[in-house]
Amino acid sequence: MANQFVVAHIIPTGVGADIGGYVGDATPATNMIASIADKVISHPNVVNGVALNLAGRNVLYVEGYSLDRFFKGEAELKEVEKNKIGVVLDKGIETEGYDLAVNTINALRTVGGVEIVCVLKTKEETMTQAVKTKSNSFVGEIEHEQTLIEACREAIKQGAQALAISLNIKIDMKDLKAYFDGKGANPYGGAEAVVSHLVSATFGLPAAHAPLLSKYEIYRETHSGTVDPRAAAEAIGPAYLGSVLRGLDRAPRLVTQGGDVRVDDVDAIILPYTCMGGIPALAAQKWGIPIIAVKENTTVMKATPDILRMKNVVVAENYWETGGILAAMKEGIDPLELRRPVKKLTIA
Amino acid sequence: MVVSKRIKIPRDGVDSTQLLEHLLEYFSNTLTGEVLRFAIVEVIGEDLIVDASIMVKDARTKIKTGGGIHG
Repeated sequence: MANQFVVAHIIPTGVGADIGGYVGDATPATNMIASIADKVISHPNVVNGVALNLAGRNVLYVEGYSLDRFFKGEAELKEVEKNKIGVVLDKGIETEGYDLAVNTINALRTVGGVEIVCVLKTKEETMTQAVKTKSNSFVGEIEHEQTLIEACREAIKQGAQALAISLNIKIDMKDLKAYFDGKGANPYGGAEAVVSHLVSATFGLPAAHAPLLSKYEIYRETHSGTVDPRAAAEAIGPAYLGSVLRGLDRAPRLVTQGGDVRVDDVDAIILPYTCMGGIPALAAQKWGIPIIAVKENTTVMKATPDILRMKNVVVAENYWETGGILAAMKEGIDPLELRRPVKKLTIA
Repeated sequence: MVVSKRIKIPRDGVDSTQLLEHLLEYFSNTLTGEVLRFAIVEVIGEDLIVDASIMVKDARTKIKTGGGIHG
């Protein structure tokens, strides 16, 4: 992708990011980046806003496991006009949860023109649960992953080119309250990422996850009073599949060659300052891709560029600075030349 | 079954440009199961503290190494 300015915007899931740790609340930052870059590679956690997905047209929606393969140089991104989507729902919740899911799917068909090839239910409950780590981040565990795999396989047989998964994730309601109060990481996030990683790893297709809520959870989410503004999209109606279907509708496919975007096309990666320990940042070190580390976007992680002794990292205090750094990079200006004092050169 | 695990991995003085390969090699040499998702969450001394999500099939499963912690 010659002469295109390509930027990746990554905010890990379930780590309590101040920006992007809620539901789609990193979309404004992403769209600001997309106003400077020709293409922005991002992922569901950054732009999924429950029913809303307001990411710009030049934002490529790439699930985390696929993103990792891309950054490892194992795959390229092939842009598409449209994907046919198969939806897989978890077994085992009350009718109200399925009604909400099906109404959301139909809303995206009739309003958004999204093409759905099938809606399937797993044969047994997947028993997916959120797990809180010692760092107070969330990860996930799945007891019956094979039932999910079987349902996905059937959806592909029926013509699905992308997979929207919606499982009921067991969480501690105290964690949900802390999250709604702005005092804890999103308890669903880590498990969601594990589910989509599993599906992407198995089938190599675009995939994303939306929580499938029980009747009680629907009630809790819509009767939580005035919540943290960043979680408001959930409190007004937990139609999570909306943003996922919108994202998958045009999500790029992974190919081993002949793609439109390769890892060596990436001009910069933007991450929270404390999240340098994942594959995108580590791969950026390997490939020599500059990292912009945003300090204001705090998380519960402690993997900073200095503690990992990283090179080629520009620290931005906030997204305002990030925009300036990107504009300089796009113009071929060394961002450091915009600051004072100017570093003196010496002859070695 | 997919399980989560916290792992302490010695850095062994590896340069940041080689850290990814260092971790992937460690997983392939020491873990059974497919690592779906991982990230260094902190560093204690020279040890890298890593949270990983691992798909465990059975003891004979050949390891494959995978992803980071973004959804």
